Amino acid sequence: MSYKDIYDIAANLSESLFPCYINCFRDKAFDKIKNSGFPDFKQEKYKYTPLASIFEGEYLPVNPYEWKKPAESDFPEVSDAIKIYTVNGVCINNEIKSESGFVYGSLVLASRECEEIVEKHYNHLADNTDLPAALNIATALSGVFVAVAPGVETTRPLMIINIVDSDSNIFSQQHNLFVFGENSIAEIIECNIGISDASTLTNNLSEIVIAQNAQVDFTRVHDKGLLSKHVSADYIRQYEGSSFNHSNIIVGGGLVRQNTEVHLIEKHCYSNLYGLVIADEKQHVDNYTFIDHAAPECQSNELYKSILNDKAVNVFNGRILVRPDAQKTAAYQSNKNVLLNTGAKIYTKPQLEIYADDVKCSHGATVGQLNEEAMFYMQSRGISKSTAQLLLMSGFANEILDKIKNPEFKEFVLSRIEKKIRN
Amino acid sequence: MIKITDLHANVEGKEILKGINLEVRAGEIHAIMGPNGSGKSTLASVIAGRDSFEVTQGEIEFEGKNLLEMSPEDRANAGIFLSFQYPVEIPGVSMTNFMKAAVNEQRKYKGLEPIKPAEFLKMLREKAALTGMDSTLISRPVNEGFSGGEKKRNEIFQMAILDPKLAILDETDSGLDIDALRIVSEGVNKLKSPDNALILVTHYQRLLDYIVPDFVHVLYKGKIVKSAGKELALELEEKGYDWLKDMDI
Ligand SMILES: Nc1ncnc2c1ncn2[C@@H]1O[C@H](COP(=O)(O)OP(=O)(O)OP(=O)(O)O)[C@@H](O)[C@H]1O
Ligand SMILES: [Mg+2]
Repeated sequence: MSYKDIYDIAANLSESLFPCYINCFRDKAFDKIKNSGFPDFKQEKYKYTPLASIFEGEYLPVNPYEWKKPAESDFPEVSDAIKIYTVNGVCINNEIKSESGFVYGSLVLASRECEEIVEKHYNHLADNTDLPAALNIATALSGVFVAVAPGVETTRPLMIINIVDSDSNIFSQQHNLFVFGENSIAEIIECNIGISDASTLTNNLSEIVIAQNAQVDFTRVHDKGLLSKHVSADYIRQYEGSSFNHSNIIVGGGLVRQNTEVHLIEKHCYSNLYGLVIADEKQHVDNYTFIDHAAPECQSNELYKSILNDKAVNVFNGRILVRPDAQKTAAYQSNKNVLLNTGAKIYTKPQLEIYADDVKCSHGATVGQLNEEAMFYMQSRGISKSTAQLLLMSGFANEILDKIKNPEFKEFVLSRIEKKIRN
Repeated sequence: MIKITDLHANVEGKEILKGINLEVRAGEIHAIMGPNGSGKSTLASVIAGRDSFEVTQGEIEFEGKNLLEMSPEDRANAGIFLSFQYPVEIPGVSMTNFMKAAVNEQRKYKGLEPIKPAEFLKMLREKAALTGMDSTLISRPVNEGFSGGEKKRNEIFQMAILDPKLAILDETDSGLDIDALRIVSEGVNKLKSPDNALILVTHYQRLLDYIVPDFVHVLYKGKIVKSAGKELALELEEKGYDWLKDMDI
C-alpha cells in the first residue's frame, strides 16, 4: 500500500474521528510528502538513516476501530503507576479520566472533551518540514492526551504502554499531546514494546508543553523485536523556570530513530537529555537531538551513552543552537560509546551553533572498549570474564539508569538490559 | 604452596623476568625487595595471571596445580590474591556489587549457594572493622575518587573478605599514613595462619617491623640475586642497592 493510499484512508476516517481544527493540517502536510518524492528524499538530518531505509516496504495501515488487548504479562510492572495502553497506536482507554492530578485518555476523545487545550497546542510544536512528522500530521488517527492542571503536583507516575501486536506488516502511528500547567509536577514513563514477529513500522510524534516552573520527568524505553522499525519525535517547549528530564533508553528494535527537540523559549529553563543505547546483531539506532537555546540564562545537559556489539550501528547527532539573545547560556553535551566488537559502528556528530557571546558550552565524544585494567582487576578477584563484562557494562549504563526515578521501572529496564547482555 | 621454577616473562617482546626461582610454603612470609623497575610487580602480575605478560619459560606450581594454565579468575578462586600496587578505578560499579560478585563466584567454585544478603552485609561490616576501612567507601564505586591510602586499605579489605591462601601485597605500604600502616598491618597479621602464606613486595623496613618476614629476597634485573633472613632488609635499608652494581649480572 502506498503512502497516498494511507493518506486517502486517513482523509476518509479522520472526518468522523477528529474535529476540523486537527484535520485542517492534513492536506498541507501531505503536500509536503507528495512533493518531496518521499521516501527517496535525502535530508541531511537523515544522513546515516535515510528515510527510504525506514519507510520503504509494504505496510498496511491500522484500522483504528479494531484492536485486541494483549496479555498483561508482557508489560513492565510498576505497581503505583496510572496506565494508558495503546495497541498499534490506538489508545484503548475509551474515556477521559481524571486521576491523581492527571487528566488523560485518547486524543480522539480529548479533541472534543478538552477542545480548548488541544486546539491551543495541537501541531504548534511539531516541525512540519520534517518528513516523518509531516506524514504523522497528515495521516495519524490516534494518540494519547495527558494534561496536568496548573499548580497540581501529581502523586503517581503515569505510564504509557505502547504495544505493537500484529500478524501482518502494519504501519502504526500516534500523535501524542502532553500539556503540563504552570508549577505542576509530573512523571511520565513511556514503554514501547513489540509482541509481534511481523515487520512493523511505527511513526510516533509527541508534543510536550511545559509551562512556567513546571517540573517534568519523561522516561522512554524502546524494546521491540529485530524486525520492527520505529521513528519517534518529541517536540518539547519549555517556558520560564521550568525543568525537564528526558531519558531515552533504547534496548531493542531493528531500527530506531528518535528525534528529540527541546525549545527553551523563556529564561531560567533547565533541561536534561539522557540517552542509553544497548544494541547488538544488526540493530540500527539513530538519535538526533536539538536543543534550541532561544532565551537567556537557561541550562541544558546532554549525556548519551551506547554499548554496541556485533554489527550494530549507532548514530548520535547532537545539535545545539544558542541564539543571539540567549546570553548566559550553559550547554553541555557528552556522548560516550563502548564498542565490544570491531563489526559495530558509531557515528557521532556534535553540532554547535553559538550566536551569543556570554555562554558556557562544552561537548565531547568518546569511543572505547571495555577497560582491560578493570577487567583484569575483577578477574583477579575471582570474577569470571562474562560477569566482569556485565558489571562493567552495567556500571557504564548506570549513569543513565540512575536517572530513572521509579524503582520498579528501573528494575524492569535493568532486567531487560541484563538479559540482553547475557545473551 | 607455590613453587616458581626458572620463570622467564616478556612484555612487548622485552624480557623482564629472567629466571626466577622461589618457593613459598604454607605459614611463611616472604619479602621481595629491589630497585625500581627490577620486575617485582611483573612477577606479581604473572602469578595473578595478567595476559599482557608472556611467559616464555619456566613453571609455577600452586598446590599441585599448574598455575600457568589457569585463568586469572580460577587462580583467584583457587586462593591467590594480589593487592595491586596501583588499584584500578571502576566507575559505575559499587564496592558492594563488586565484592558480592567476587564472593559468589568463590562460593560457586566451592560448590556453595550464593551468600544471603544479611550474611554478606555482616561480613562487609566485620572485615571493614578489621582493616579499618571507612564504611562509607563501601557504597561508592570501586576505588573511584579514593585517596591513595584508601585504595591500599581497600585492597586489604578485599583480601580479608576473600581470605586467600597466598596473598601477594605489592607495595601496599606505600601511600598509607603511619597509623593506617599499623592498622592495616595488624589486620594482615590477624588474617595470617599456618595454612596461608604471604609475599610482601616493599621498599621499606617499616612494614617489615609490623609483618615480620621469614625470608627476604632481592630482585634485580629480573632475577633473585640474594636471599636471606629478615636481617637482610635492615642491611638494605642501611646500604641501599649500590652494592648490586658491583655484582656481575
Ligand atoms: N606494559 C609494559 N610495557 C612495557 N614495559 C613494561 C610494562 N610493564 C612493565 N614494564 C617494564 O618492566 C620493568 C619491570 O617493571 P615492574 O613494574 O615489574 O618493576 P617493579 O620492580 O615493580 O618496580 P617498582 O619498584 O618501581 O614498582 C620496568 O622496566 C617496566 O618499565
Ligand atoms: Mg612495582
